[in-house]
Amino acid sequence: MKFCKTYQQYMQGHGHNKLPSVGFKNLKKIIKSCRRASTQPTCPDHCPVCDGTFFPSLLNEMSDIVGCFNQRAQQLLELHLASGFRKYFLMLKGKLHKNHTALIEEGKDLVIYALINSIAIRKILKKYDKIHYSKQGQLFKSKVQTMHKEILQSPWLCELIALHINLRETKSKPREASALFDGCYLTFTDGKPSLTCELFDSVKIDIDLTCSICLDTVFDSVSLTCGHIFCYTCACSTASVTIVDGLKAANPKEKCPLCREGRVYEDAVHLEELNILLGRSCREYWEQRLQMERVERVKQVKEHWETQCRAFMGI
Amino acid sequence: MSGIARGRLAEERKSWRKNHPHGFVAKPETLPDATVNLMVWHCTIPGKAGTDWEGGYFPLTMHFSEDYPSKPPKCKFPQGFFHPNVYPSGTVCLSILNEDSGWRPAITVKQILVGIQDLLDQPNPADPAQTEGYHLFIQDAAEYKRRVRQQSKQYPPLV
Repeated sequence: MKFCKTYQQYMQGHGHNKLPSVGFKNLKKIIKSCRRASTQPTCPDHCPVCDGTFFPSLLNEMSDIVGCFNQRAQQLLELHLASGFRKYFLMLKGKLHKNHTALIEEGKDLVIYALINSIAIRKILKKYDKIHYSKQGQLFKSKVQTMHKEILQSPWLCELIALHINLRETKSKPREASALFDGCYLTFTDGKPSLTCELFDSVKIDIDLTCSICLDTVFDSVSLTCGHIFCYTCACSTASVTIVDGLKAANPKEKCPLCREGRVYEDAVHLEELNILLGRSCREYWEQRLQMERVERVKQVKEHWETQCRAFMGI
Repeated sequence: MSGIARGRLAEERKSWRKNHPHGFVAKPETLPDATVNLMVWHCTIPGKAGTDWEGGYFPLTMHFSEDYPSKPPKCKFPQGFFHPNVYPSGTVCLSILNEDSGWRPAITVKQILVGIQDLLDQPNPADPAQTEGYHLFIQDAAEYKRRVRQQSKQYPPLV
């Protein structure tokens, strides 16, 4: 079956959720109309049809998809991670009616939604480049990544995959996998962990869980707004802030250690579900790191308060 | 910071011992009291096969600061090393070792050493660090080649 059909069937099947999607047919029409309008075999650098219709339409759709995905993922994770008074409050609001299996299903649906949309976007841009003999599609993709509108960059995707594994392994088995979904796994290659998620048609994404600063498994992981994952302490160190001040205090000029993009620290996301997953899967390592981190944190807190006291006393 | 630097260097060492490119050497310095100083590494870079640098095994010292990996290591060949992008002091001038341009904390010791090996046979005339090497490379290719071969013979493999 052609991907376009698979995609439409999937999105129609989830019509009750009114999830935003890529207007596959509409975008294909735009490309075709451009091909008809242009007398040259290739689309010029500044094509009124593409510049004015195709890319803006796709950008709007991508924004809607990412926005919707992030919002729903956050809500779902909030339900799962809520404890104590927060849990009681959500119960009163009637938000906590979902049982364990329903949480797994919704999490899985959101992961599929993210992956299938990323494939749809990749395919439509590939088609654009093929028809126009250009690299405009690739350039657009890079531009979108810097705008953080690429769904695979979302920290919530990583969290949802971790949530799915956590729920699946701790409680009862969910219903049989859907035809689209082959599942999520935490895999170890040469002792290095990664999150693997497989979709139909052997489409597979791998999220590397090795911190590129300490070259070890991420501990107390945090995702910067560019989508790269680091240990919290390592991220603080490269952002030149103390653990006490936190990443919010980072200078906007500080860049991501991997992609060198600026302004990535202030809205960094703590990956709680991933921490639960890794803490359970690498117990020995986690305990060892916990001891080391405690020492480092106590040291930094001491230094912080000494500085504060000196400043207060005017020394 | 130093905790991160030492932890990272311990991981680098582990990774290097598990797998490293053929002919290369990279070892942390051993002090007279037999303790290991992870902040200084003694390395050897082999000249690439099929180039004028072939047969030479060039010693390089890497100095890591307490701010590593936020700041790059300082890499030094012996003083007076002949190459357009090596300062008279022996310090290597390479974009990935420059904090303000190409350095990223994700770059490993392995990548640095391979990068320097590539630089040996592919100098960057846009960023000269020594007069002699630069002028010969630009103006007298034959003499430049001769000097490189001569230097390669000065650094035979350590048996």
